Amino acid sequence: MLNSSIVTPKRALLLCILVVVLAAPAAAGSIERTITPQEGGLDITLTVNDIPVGGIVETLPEGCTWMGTDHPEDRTRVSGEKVAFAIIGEETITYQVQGPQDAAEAFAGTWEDLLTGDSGVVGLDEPGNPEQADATTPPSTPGFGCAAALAALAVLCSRRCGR
Amino acid sequence: MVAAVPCDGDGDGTLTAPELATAILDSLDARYMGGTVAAPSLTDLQDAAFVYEHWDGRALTITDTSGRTTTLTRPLNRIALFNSDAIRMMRSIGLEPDRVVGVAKYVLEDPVFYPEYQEKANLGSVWSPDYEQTASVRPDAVFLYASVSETSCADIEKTLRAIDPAIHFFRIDSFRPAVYADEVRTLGLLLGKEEEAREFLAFHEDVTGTVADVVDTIPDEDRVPVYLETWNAYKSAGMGSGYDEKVWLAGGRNIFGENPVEYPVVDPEAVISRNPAVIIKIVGAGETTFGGYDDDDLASFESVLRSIENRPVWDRIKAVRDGRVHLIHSKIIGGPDYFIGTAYLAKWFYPDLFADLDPRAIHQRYLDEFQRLDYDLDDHGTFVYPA
Amino acid sequence: MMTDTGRQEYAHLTGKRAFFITGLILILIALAGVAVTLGSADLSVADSYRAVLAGLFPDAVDLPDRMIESNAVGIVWGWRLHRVLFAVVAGFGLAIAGSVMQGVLRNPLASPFTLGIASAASCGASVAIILGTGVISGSLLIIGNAFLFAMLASAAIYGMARLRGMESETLILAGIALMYLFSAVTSLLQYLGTADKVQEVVFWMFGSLDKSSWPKLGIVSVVVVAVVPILLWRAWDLNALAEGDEVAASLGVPVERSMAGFMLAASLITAVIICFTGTIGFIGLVAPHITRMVIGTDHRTLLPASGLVGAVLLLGADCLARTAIPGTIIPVGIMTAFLGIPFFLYLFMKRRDG
Repeated sequence: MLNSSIVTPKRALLLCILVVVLAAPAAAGSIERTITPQEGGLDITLTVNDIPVGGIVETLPEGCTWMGTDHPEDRTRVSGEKVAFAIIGEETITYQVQGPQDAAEAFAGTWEDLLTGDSGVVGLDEPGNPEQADATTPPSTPGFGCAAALAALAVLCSRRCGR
Repeated sequence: MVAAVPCDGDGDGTLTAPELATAILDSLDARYMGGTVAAPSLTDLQDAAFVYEHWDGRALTITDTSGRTTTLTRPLNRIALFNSDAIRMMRSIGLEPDRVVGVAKYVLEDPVFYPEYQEKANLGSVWSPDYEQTASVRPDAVFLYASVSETSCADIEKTLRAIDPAIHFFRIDSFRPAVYADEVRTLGLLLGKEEEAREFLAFHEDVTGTVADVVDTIPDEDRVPVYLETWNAYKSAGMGSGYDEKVWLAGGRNIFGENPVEYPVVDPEAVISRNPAVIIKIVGAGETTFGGYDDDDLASFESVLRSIENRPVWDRIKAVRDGRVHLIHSKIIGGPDYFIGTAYLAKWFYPDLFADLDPRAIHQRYLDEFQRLDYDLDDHGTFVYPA
Repeated sequence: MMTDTGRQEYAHLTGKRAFFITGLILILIALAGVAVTLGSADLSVADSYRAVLAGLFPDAVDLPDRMIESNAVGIVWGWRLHRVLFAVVAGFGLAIAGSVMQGVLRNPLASPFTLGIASAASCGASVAIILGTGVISGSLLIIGNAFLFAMLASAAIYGMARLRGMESETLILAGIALMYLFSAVTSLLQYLGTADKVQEVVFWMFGSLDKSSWPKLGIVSVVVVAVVPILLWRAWDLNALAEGDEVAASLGVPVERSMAGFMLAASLITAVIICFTGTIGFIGLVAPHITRMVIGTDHRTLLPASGLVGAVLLLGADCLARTAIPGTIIPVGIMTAFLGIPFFLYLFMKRRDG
């Protein structure tokens, strides 16, 4: 019968995993993309979370043409089907492309946080438009993954540390 | 000759937002978009981002505790620390362990308190430094003490500079109350942790301010007379010693405070005749190597307490009669954690005035929030007795 | 008039001396070659030599990346090389100073330290470290004080000897008195000093080559190179003095002036070395003894040979000091003190049999 007031090595390990899982998503930055269809094209909004200085490279799908952006000109660079944005304190970046509606799923992008060295893939936010409802299954958000991990650990804990 | 600020296109010494933007775009272009522009390296770009975000795009000129100024144009990412107190101060402001490449041997000998630094290079100590190890980890900054062993620190700086002239040297103490806040702020600016430094200082000033507000209202002649004994029997602390200062900060009056020797061996009869109201015994080294973070047993504390009370004729001393003899571990009264110990002392000196002060909660918060350790004081560690 | 056997013996002895000295030089070179490769940085033997060459001929040598990353050239040229050379020069100087002292005092257990010079230097260093006062302020504080106090001690000895007569007994008594005086002052300073300063004093007194540098090596080399040839030139006088004052006087040696001159030279060499390294003992005691056992007491060969033995001993001790406990450098003065133990045991054993 385990004395619950002693932290055994196994418990410590589980606790550490828990701490890491909980801590990781909270500390890192991320970028989400929201696509709103417009007349003849798409409006893309990139939401920057916790990245004061960084860069994004978006790859436009086939058939899409660059229209413009409200991001400063000296912080944007277009080259073929790729667009680079320099983030210096901005929290949102919006740009417009001309193209078919179903191209919305084919947007891809990577981001870099130049202060922490982190990098990642631009996540897909829950689509705002009901027409996009049965699009590809959204990749799991950090919160979901965390909850799943917690649940698993809770089960493990209750089994191992049962009184 | 100072190195240029990275990515400073026009070389005017200031990295402006447009210059940074160009550098970012050039880099992304070269790496992801097949561009052929001359792009800065990723290291240069990340350094530029740091300088822009934390130092207003300009070179930082900073003065350390010893008065030396250094000018930096790049962040410090390979820090070597001979000062093991400084590492705790840096941890309090959230310095990532990755940015530390070498530590003093005392850090490696304490895996309970420094778990994340156990794989770092062993630099020896200030009196016996391992120059080859230090040089081979290629630090960009070496931290030494400002007021401890100044000649040894000077020798270390001279020798290392001869091996690698690119190293920056900083001298900070991290254990002296008088310069504590300044050092936290300096480190915050230096390491790009200004926000975290402010948070930590708020915590620190909350504790020290609470004590100081009450203590400042006590007239000097009404201060509680205290006998402070260090690790070895009858070795007290005299004028100018750190412990004497902490007794004063906590509102007490060290009965040997005018003794010119830093750690004088005192006559037991002098203690009896000066009749202190409180006796503080510091444990943790010398004749009393027990307690601290990896010791959970209070038995040794108990026996030392009894032996003090049983000293011949000491039952005449007010402190012993009133049961106001306390043991405290050096880990929370020396070093950068001193303010926790000072809170304990204040509470013991004036229990009525500090009824709401909870030093243990302060200690736990310090460990959880600022030292980022998974350590529960309820289950582990022995620091004070009786509490 | 030399007989044939005499001539043969003399030739044999000369040959032995030549062989001994050549052997020592070779050992010294080999040892230096090994010493340059020792250290806690992860440098292979080949890399160490490559680094030495790269420092000498920077454009000619192509360095592999791993050496640039680990700053091998900086480590070898900024830390190891001058230390190795310093050990050679310091060992050489201390041993010669010891031989001279033993000759002048006619006492085989004499060393510069017997005359209180080491204690004086420690006292000077303590004053500098604990009180912060000294003759040269700033980074030369400790060095200046140690040198000054050491020379003061030898001046005091000379003064006392002038008063009471320049005999070896007088000198040794005066030396021991000074030694106790300076030790007492050092102890008092240690009692009054703060804990970290006392630590610094203690470490200084261990004697170490950690603080060597190219400029310091230069200074010591200049002094040794200036003084040693004079000593060699006058070595015959030392032979005469070793026979006794009357004998020496009858041979035309200006006894008092010679003794003073030799004392000054030996003190100067010792002082200039230990003011940089702290007190490294036993080299001045052991090296002349070993040499004497092999090649006899003719100071014309004894001086340079014991110098070489001293260099080998100190360099060997330093190599051991750097490698005995991985990751730590034991102060070389502690290593040389350990050297003294087998030596004195040997003497003790020899005494019993004889």
